[in-house]
Amino acid sequence: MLVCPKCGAAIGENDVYCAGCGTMLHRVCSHCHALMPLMAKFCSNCGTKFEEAKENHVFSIPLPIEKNGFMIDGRDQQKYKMVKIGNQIWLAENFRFKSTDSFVYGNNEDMAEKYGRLYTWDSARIVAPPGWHLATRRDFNELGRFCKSLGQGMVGTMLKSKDAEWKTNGIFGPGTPGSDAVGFAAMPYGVRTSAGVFSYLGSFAYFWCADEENMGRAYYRHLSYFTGAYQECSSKKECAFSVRLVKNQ
Amino acid sequence: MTITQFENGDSLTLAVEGIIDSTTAPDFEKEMLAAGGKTKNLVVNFAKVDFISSAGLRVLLLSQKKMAAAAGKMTLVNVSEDVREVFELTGFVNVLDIA
Repeated sequence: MLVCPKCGAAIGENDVYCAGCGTMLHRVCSHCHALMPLMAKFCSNCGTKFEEAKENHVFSIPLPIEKNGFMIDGRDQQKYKMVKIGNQIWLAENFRFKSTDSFVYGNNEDMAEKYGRLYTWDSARIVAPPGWHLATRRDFNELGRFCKSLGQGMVGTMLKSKDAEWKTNGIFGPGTPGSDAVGFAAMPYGVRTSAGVFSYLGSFAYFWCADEENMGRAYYRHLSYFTGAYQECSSKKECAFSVRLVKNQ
Repeated sequence: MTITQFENGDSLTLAVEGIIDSTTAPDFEKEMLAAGGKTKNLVVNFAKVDFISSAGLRVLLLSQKKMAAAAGKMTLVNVSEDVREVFELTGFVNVLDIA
């Protein structure tokens, strides 16, 4: 018999939540360690086929709390500002849950509070708490369309924070500050390259999309200090970028 | 960093070897600008460039602008995966002619 690891109530292998305490029930993929719903037959991250769930396969993940415009991640109690943009609800901050293959710029943990963490794509794919997901290409497209519909200038400018760091001069010329017109508040947190080098703090923001281009590469959105462009690009999955989460609809 | 020049008909090839950072970028700039003054078709072979920093990127951008202003062309060839990643992350893939 399967039981909830939190309250001990009996659960079925097709249950999403525990009927005894309401906690969300998960299992961990033995191959890639992604958290999957208990009822999953395959891992949606790596395709591994799951055997029938046994007691030691079940994990409970505390649900995030959403209150007064903030989301509190039940796993580490970190608090994030939420923002409604069009029909979407985004986190208005970079995610900072400390997971495997996530980094802080220059390995300086003090950076996490302001800038969040940088995640490899594989790590970014599975880091969201229940009820939230890593932004997809479709999410970013919808965000871009909504910003354009407001007619307040270039989308990248509207998404960039008003932070002075965007004004840093660089190779391409003077920096242009953001208007933060929709509350997205993108920060120029740079990247950890696939070679492990931290670069471009103050110059560029990179946000992973949940969609892969091929086996080795995935899509991301890119904001630059010198332009208001809102570009979609692709990169090696080993690069570590910022993560923005969108609330499931 | 070492740079070797080869002439091939109308084009001039610079074969660069080593890393291009703030230490080596001044020499890289001198060689690039001098070579750009000699040809309308500059080929820069990056096969043996292991790393390029912002200082090196600045030189490439300057050379690219000078070549374009003189109705010339600058092409980078044999760019390694690591260096290509730098070009991608900085948006240089949209600016440079990379074969």
